[in-house]
Amino acid sequence: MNDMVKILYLFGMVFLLILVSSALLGTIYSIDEGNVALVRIESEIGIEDSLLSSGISSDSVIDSLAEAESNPNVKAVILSINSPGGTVVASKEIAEYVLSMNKTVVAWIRDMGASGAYLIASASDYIVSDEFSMIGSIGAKMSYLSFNGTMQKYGINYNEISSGSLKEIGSPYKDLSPEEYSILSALVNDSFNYFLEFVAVNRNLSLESIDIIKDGRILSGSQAYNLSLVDELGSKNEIINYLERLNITDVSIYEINQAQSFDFSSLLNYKSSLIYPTYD
Amino acid sequence: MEDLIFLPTRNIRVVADFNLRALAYIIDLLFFFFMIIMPFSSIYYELSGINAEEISIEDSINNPKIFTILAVGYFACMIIFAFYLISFEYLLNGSIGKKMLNLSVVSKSKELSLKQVIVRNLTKSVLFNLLAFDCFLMLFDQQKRRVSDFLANTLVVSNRKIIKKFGVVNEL
Repeated sequence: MNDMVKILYLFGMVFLLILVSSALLGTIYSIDEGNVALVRIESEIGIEDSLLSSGISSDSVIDSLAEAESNPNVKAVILSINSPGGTVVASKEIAEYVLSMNKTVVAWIRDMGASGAYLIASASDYIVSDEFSMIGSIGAKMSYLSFNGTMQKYGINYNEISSGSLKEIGSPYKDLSPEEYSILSALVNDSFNYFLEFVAVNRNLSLESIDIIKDGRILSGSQAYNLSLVDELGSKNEIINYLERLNITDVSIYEINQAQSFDFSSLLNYKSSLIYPTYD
Repeated sequence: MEDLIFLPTRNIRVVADFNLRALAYIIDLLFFFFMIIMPFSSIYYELSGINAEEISIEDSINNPKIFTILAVGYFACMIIFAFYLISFEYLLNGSIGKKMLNLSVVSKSKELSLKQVIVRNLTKSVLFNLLAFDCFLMLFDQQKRRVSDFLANTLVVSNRKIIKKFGVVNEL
């Protein structure tokens, strides 16, 4: 075989390799088709995933949103919400990330979008819910079990040695003093005021107009629509129509799978003696 | 009509200098860009569903899927480039760039083996990041060898024709 034949033969091999590898790898490593990403928030919202809880972490939701944000094919994001809420910080983290996104975000409230879940929905550009969805429950709370009465009944004393009089605030083994109660109430009210203002600003509502829901009541989708807490009653079709009005045509929805990390240390997480405000 | 004068010549091999070798590599890189990267990426990105022109550096870092697609594409191109260099050098003693500049890869011991060719081409393709380190030795070595030439026991020579010293005869 002379050199010229060898060169032609090798060129052929190189091009064959290019064709086969590009076609094969392009099929295997393809980005999800679709111009609208769907991110699910469909359980209680917390800071971290735990094997023992069915909740969803703010980190995994934010990671999914970041993935949608950085995908140039994605023109809009649908947040599928079916959640009773969650911790204040986790809900706030997601809501603030949604606010910072440059892409259109539509919240789709399914059975329930209450408390922290509604906080997140209110950060989106458009909210669609069913007329019978449960929405609202705007407020914050803090709760804990108290075993003081039971302990006294059985003659068990709780002896407290702490560096400060408020160090053991919220301990389940003693009742709250009036001072402790006022401190915890202030924390709850701070979270609540933040929530209320966040909803008012992002939904473009006056604080007076949402005065009726300050008591933390739950509303149906229809009631929420009448109070302008929801933009449209409907389902996926209404979302697609809304996106088409924004010139996002040929809507093709693909779901971003949220990472469910398993961490053995989460088994050891223990927070029963710690109380903190939640939006649920 | 002018008369042609044929002078007797003989082939000699001299150690290829740095500039010639660099030029040969640049020719190979042009081949790599136009004949490997361009056809590969046009098929690969089309099937992957990403528009490479719209992707920013930030997107490629932040989006793990895009990062994976780009990384796989990069390594695939590098492996094809390695295949090109290795197959041409093993079967023809030189890549296209070397052939065009009359350079050849020779073994310092026996005949050039596949193992030697693979070793000397790793830093020119898959381990591209180490190329500068690999070439550093050329500045000091009389035979202008890279570190990988040392490891593979190979040498790059320039094939030249010279006129035979006592063979110049007027045969008109």
